[in-house]
Amino acid sequence: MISSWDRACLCALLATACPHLFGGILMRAGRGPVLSAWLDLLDAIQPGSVRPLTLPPTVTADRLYESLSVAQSLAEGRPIYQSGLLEQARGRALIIHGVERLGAGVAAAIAAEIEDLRTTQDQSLAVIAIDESRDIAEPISSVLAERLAFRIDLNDMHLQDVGAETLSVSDVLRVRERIHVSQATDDDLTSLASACAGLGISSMRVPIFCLHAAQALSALDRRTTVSAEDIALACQLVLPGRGQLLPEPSSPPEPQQSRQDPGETSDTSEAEAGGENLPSASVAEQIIQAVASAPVQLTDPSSKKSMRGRAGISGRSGAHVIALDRGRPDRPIRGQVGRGRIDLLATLRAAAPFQQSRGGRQSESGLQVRTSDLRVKRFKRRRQSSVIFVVDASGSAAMHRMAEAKGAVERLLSQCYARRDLVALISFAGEQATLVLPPSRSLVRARRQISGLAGGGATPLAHALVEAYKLARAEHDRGRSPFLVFLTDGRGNMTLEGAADRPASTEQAARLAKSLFRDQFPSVFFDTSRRPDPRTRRLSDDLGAQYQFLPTADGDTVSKVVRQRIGTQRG
Amino acid sequence: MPDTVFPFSAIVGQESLKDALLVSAVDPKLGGVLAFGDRGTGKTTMIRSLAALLPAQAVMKDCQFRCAADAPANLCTNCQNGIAPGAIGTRNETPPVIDLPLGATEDRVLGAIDLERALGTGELVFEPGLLAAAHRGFLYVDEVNLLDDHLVDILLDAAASGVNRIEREGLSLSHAAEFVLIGSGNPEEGELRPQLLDRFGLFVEVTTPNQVADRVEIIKRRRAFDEDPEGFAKTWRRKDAALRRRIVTARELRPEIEVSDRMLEQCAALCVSLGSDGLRGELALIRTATGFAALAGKTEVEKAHILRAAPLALSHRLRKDPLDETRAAARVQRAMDEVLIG
Repeated sequence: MISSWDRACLCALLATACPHLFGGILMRAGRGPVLSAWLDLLDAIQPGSVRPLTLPPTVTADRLYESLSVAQSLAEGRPIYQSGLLEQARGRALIIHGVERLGAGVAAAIAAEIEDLRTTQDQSLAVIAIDESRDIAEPISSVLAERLAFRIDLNDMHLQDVGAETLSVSDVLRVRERIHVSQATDDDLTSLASACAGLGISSMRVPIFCLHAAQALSALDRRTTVSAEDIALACQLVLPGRGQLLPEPSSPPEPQQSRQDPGETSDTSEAEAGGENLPSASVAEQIIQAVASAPVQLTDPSSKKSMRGRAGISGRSGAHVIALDRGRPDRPIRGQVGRGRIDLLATLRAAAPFQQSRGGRQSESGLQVRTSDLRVKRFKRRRQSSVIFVVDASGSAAMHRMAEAKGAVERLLSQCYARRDLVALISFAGEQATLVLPPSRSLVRARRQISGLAGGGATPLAHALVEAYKLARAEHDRGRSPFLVFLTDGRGNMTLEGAADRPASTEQAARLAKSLFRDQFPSVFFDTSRRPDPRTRRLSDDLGAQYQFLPTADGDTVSKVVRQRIGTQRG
Repeated sequence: MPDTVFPFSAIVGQESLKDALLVSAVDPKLGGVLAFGDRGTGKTTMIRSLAALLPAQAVMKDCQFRCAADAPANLCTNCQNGIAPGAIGTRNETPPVIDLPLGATEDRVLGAIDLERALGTGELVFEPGLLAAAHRGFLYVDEVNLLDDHLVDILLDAAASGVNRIEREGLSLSHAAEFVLIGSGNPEEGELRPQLLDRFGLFVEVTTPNQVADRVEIIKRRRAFDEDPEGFAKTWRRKDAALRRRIVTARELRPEIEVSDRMLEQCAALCVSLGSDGLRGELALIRTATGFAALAGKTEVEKAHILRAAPLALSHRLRKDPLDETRAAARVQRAMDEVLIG
């Protein structure tokens, strides 16, 4: 069993050796000594004198291609060009820090470049996309992620895990030279195909990445045939975080189980689901096991508590980047060079009054434009609403209430998918709250996630509030307007620490409600108790929510009230 | 830019998408293709392969809108003012495949004032955008369901009219922009609004082959291509050439093809039984069936062609119950069984 560090190094080696086959690496890593050590290694194994090129996530699309340098052109009075970054990156490694913040247009342009250069080995670029997000997973452009073969997670590694450097430029050159010499049998291909199918990976790029990686690994060892170990190791480098298989809707999630290591749990379930009805099931299963035994951390951290909420990197690629350059045009503002698109007419208009004082005579020196005249286009985008349902699934009436909530969510979804709003669902019962449906406007996904929802057990109200707050906060940070809908009787009996203690839990919930929610996010509180209860009313007030007593809440009423409230919120 | 492209004939499976693209190549005015479904199913490969397969077309030299040399009625003002079309000179090019990135701005799509010329010489000159670049080729939008609605509107307008009309920033001009719009996306990440859905001519639901044998064959061919692109392309050259001839013949044949009243009635009956809204579906169905007849080298539309066209032309135009679980293609199939065969 090789260490995580060694795997990370192998990825660097393979991506450097054959960027045209692998596209690059998607890695989770915060800035720190481990990442530095890895980048040093990457630098050390680059053949020739080429150095990696580093991009900031704030790079704008116009810098990717050769373009006019506005600032210099204005200063010198003649057009001055700057070469495009994509051209500079040809045949090199392209490092992108904070890829989760990369603009969607830039990501798509890089993906297109990978696609265009597929057949030219010495020109193609190895993209090293570094996801720096820690707690809340940000969506990463799936167009780009899909084309990067390798997955690495350096986040939980420490400096002592960093091993001695054993790879060198000659290894890179050897792999490059011999990769097609090393051959895989048809059985190998079949087991790869079955393994990926078993993990619910639909993309055909993935098994092809695995095959090339296995060939490269055997080439590294100077072998001419691919061994079973090569394939298993290749899968460990390529497959983490890509599993898409969702548990059967008939088996509701067991909150007790998910307190265990989430990676472990989800991967065993995948392995079980994968082995069925496939010709070379045993080998495929071995592969799946091999991947499962590797630390798989590239799953969505926001759904750590839930098997069901888990979605692969590509699955949660909303790529909702709020850009300065999209939407309906608004009044232009005074701007800096390089930020946004210059509004030429507005700029000229701003410059016009000063022409005489600047001594510009139209016939000789043309128009005198100063940097202070520059006007940048602005665009208006309606803020998206993100409706977050927080549904009490505990106790006896749970099933009834869940049905109502499900109905309301589905109805709201079908109404608002035309308006591009999103809906999310947190349910709580037993020990904890679970993000059942991450913010989505997809009916297909919503239906599937919701249909398997079940309830019962204690009422971890406090935990639900914490989770709801986290999600609302994250949505707010993504530029959306969160709107919360609580459906509960407000009778929490499980504390954050997991103790079954009604008074402590009630007190905790009230404190959280006041400190986290008051005047933060607009919300509606549906009291699902059998009789109106002043204590529940108080909780609703603490949340700053609009209170609604609904002993028999039905989907229609819920969705109507929510629609009205969002309407007034918009003004 | 890409030197060797994966041969179209070597693509395994994906018959519906192949059908949709081929019939669009025969009749580019069908209104584009929307391919919804999984990633990594070869959509990108297929579109690039098809473009490389199509016959080269003559283009006016030095024309910024790449006017067609063989369509004198459709020239831009610059080409019209240049003496006789032949005098400017022509060049041959393969049909372009233009990727439209998600973050594209309106300026980039429509075209905008050429900033360089404006700063340098003070002239207001138009710098063509992606619509001009895609003229007589394909405009590919990955994740079209995540694109801003107003951009999707612009694309669909241009695709339907074949003209890009600019009235902004003091510019007023129009140029030909005839392209096949191909949108792809994953419904798991968000749906396309129904009013946009309906405006795509054809719809394909793309899935990965679930047969392991097919998947293995895909991996094998890809491996062979990656090892030796040119050699691999050579082994498929004959098949690609045959397909190219079929498309060229079909393009010539298509305007001559007749649709009998009986076939028109069948189309109407099918649309009525499916409750597809409006006439758009019916027109698309007839037009697509005509395209298939042309591809088959027939002079008249037959039932087989309608059967092939219906799932592509109607799946996305059914009267919608957003919570209906039944797959659209299955509903079309059922209706065809009842109306056409029964």
